Amino acid sequence: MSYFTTPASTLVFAMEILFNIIDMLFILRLYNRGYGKANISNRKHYLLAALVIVVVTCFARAILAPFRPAAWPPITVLFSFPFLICYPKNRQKKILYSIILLTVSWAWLFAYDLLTSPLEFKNIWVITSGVHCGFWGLLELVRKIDKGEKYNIPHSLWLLLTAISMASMITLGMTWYYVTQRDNPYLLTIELPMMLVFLFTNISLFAFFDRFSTLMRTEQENILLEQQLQLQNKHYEELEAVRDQIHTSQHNMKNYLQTASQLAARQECNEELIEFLRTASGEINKVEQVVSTGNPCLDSILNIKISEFHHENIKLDTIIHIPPNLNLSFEQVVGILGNLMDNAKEACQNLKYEERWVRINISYTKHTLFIRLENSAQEIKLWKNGLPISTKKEAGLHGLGLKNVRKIIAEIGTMNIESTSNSFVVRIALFDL
Amino acid sequence: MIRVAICDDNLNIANSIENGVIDMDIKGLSCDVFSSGVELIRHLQSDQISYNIYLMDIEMPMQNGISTASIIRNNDQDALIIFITNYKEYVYEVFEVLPFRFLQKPVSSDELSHALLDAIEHIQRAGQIFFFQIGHQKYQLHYHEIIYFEGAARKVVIHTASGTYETYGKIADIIVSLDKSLFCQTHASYIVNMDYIRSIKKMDVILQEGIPIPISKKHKNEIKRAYLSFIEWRCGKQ
Repeated sequence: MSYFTTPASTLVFAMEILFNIIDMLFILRLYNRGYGKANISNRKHYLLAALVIVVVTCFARAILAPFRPAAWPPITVLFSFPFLICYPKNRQKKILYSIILLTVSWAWLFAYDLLTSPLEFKNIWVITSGVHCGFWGLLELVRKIDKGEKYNIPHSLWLLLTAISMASMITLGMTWYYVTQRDNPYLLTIELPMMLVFLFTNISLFAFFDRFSTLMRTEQENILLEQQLQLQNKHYEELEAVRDQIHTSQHNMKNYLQTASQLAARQECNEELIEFLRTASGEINKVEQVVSTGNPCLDSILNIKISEFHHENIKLDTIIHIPPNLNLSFEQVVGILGNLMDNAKEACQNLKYEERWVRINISYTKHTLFIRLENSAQEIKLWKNGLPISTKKEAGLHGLGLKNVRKIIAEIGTMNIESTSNSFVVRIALFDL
Repeated sequence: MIRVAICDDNLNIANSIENGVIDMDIKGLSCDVFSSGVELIRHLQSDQISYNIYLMDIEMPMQNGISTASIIRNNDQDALIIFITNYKEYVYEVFEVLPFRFLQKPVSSDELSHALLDAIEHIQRAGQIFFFQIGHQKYQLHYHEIIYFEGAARKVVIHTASGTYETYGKIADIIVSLDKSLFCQTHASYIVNMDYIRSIKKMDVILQEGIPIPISKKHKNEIKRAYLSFIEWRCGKQ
């Protein structure tokens, strides 16, 4: 125990251990943000980390000269790496972040050293506290920058970012060596601004990665949305074609039946046959459009969906008063009404027959088309960015419907979604139609 | 005083609607019945009067509801026209006369009173009065005359269809005194009458005449929400 000759040096060592543990906790906090939840319990995680860092600090104390500090942020960062295996798989981000974090901690230590060494006043408490507090500040700053994006960025871009960080680290090492070999190592020289530039560059790398990752995610999402829309369009085009065909054959059938009944009327004693033919042609008349507004695509989608509602035993209440030839494309109508009515149907399918209802109001006033769709539904408790989180099982299709609606409406109108204990309401205003 | 005209060639329906209106027992409401569009127009022209609310059958012999309504609309921009339609009867030109609502035959008393109460509320909202001073002169404007308020330094400019008025005051003080279901603040120095909004873009609100009014980030969500409620109210809650 020759190291702890005075009570003060023992206290300093205790402080170093404490600071190191706090450093480690801040690092793990950053990891939690960056990589998601660790897959072991929080308590175990933090206890294990604290234990490791205590052992490391004791070891450092044992091998280093007494006047050297035993608590170094880069060392703590280094020993936090094994804990990365506890986090969800994300090799690209982990490698890049680890290198940058190491560089940042080292650059900070170096900069701080260059700044404080020439000072006359040297209180070990103040100096040690300063380096750790500054390090915590940096870690918190990085945590603020990181939005927890998990999407991979293009490989070449990743290589570039990693190379920048690696180059900084190598330069850092060389400068360190140069400075310590010099006669008067701690003069306020060019090294200090250099270190600050390194610090700034490397922290910016976090921001770069995060921005690129966000871009990649939005792009991927947009591709998915686009695909979904195209699929829907195709689906409705096909349905419309089928309906057209049915209409034509119904029309023909009606003509055949009428001709047949005329032919039958020429002969006597055919009352029964005539009656039968008349009833049959009447039946055909019954199958006709429910909605007819003079907007062909809107009518066909409403009619398709309304007949689906009937199949599902959903009680339907409609108010539709709109002018013909509204300036809405097939894609827009499919994207908005198709998705909303699909959602309403799905919500109703989870309920008992007698609880299923949908109310649709489509009205027009002052160049604005107003759409209100309300359906019975269980209350939605989970929301993200103003949209309910889908409970659908199939991955990839999560909440795409409403996202698509919102995307289409963003340019031409506004929308509002509400969920009550027994219903779900979407209100939409489309401007300037 | 709110005047209602009922116009239907089927006198049974006209009478039952009239009874429905009378049964609502609204103070200061009077009700006249006409059996054809021609009769109604002749009455309007000879007596130089107008009604606030028209309950109009679409299908009538001689002059149908739509052409009658378009004559009314030409002379009176503020008239509220409620069409009474047959189920499935869909007349496309009807929107050109800016109808207030539609009622489907047979008209239930619930639906009738709902539409009529909305119309009365609309008239009362738009008929509220905004008082202000220019110098020592006192002025007043009906809400429906005001298109928007614009703040400039210590003055507020009130824009109406017939001209502008300049008065001393602050936008922040004016918005407090106005009916929020009709007026909405879009910007630190603008208040807009939602009845005149044509569309809401990213950076500004476009009025019916195409005038852009700037939106500030602070008010953006609020104005979208308010306008959606306004439109929902205009279209009639279900």
